[in-house]
Amino acid sequence: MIYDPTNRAHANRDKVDLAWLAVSKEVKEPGETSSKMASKLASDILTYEVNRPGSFLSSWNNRWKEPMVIAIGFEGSANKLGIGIVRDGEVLANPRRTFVTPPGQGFLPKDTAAHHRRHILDLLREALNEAQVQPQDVDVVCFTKGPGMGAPLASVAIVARTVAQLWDKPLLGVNHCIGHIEMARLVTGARDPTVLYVSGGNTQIIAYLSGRYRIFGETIDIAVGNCLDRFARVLKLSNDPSPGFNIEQLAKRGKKFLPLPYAIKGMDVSFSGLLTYIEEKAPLLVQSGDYTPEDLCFSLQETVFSMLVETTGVKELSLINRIMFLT
Amino acid sequence: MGDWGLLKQGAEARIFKGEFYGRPCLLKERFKKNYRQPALDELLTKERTKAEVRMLMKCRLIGLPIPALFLVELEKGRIYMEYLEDAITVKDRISSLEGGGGGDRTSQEMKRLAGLIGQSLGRMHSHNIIHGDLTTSNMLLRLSAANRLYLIDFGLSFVDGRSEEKGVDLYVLERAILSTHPNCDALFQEILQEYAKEYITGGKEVLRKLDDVRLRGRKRTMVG
Repeated sequence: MIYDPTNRAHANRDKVDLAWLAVSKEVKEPGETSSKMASKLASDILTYEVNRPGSFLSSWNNRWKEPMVIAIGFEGSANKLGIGIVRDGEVLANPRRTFVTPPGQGFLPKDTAAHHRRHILDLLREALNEAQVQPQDVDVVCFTKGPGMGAPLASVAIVARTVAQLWDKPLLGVNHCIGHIEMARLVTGARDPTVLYVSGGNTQIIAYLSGRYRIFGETIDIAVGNCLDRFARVLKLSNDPSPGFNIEQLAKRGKKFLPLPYAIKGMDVSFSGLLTYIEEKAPLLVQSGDYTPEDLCFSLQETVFSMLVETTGVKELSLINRIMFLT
Repeated sequence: MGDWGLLKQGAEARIFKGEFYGRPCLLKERFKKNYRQPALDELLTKERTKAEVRMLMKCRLIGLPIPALFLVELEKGRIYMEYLEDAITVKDRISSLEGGGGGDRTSQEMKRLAGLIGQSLGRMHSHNIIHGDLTTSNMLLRLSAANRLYLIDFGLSFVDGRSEEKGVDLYVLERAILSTHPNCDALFQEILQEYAKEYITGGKEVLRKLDDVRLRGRKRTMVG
């Protein structure tokens, strides 16, 4: 590491260097009370810095042990199965498998879990090969602890726990939502984003305030992804690669706008009434020839996206999942 | 009609300050949203301007303090209303109370504030007015005029007699308080107490609904 005074992390090093000086001086010539207090403070800072993961001193302390932290993560909270290997913020591998159901059907927990069990070992081998990492190089094994569908979560957690014990590595459970946010922060470099977190199971507007992530707005019933998925089932659209993606393709060709219920409750949104409305109307409207499926997809997409943009209503928007990918 | 200075730019509207025939006036203009489909945008802007004006008048009729209405230009999405000179938002009031350190005085003032809010909301709901966007920023306080509480920003409001909608209305406020004032746990409880006292006929029922609404949604109770 080359010292760079304009770099913030390095500037912090200056403080630590000062603390070092204070301590070493104190060790040589024990002095009056005030300097004792100063040295106590300095040694406290040092202890803290040495123990703080990711700090300069802790990496300095561990410089001969491991060059960098390598983490492997297992995710399987819904119909997608993914394994990621990351070294100090650099994604080395991230292979995935998606459980795709026939048109008109959703994915059931039991079948999804079976899909994950069938593929996870191949996927693990693929990830390790792609990252060119040996099991003994891995420092920590992470897995999605929740929230999500119980059976798929459990089948993936078992694998994570097993390899953690086989390789004798620490095991770390991660909240699915926090995982999404931190991943997006890493990839985009956004420091303090307001986050619109949308997927098949979640619709939340989140920001970091006084020490923790807080939910400023969210759906009061179903998630936006769920709303789109279920409408795709009405139109019998393909689930490959995802229902939301296929709705978007149709929407591109839509022309006629159908006014739909627009439900905003303060910072919260609601999609269930909208879904019931369009589920009931869609077959009639298409049959009568007033609207094409393309028009309906276009109207639905414009309406729900407008609701989301309105409640989020901010300058820096980090779209955690691009809306085409509903997990 | 003189100069209009921009006071605030929100996601929904711009607020200007100026004069209307010699009176201090506030202009709220719902501007065009380019992210929305034009047909949808026009519909929403019109609906909301209408809803806001109607509900302000209705509030006045039932004796809730609101800024006086001067003029409405529906096509342009503009509402001209009285500018309240010495008003501060309840949000700012709570922040300044919190900043002033704890003590009996502060908790007394907080209680008084909660009482005012609870009473206003109880009165509003007893006349079936659903505000639709209750936050501490949408309540103004005039300390000079004997602590009068003004409810504003009725763009998402509607009339509905069901306790379901009233429960959701309170739920929105609860969430807003929790996210903007993380250290004011007791405030909302006190608001609810006063609310039930003011809204005798249906308040209890609404509070029961509120409990239902809280349990709704997915994954609330899951850990992880």
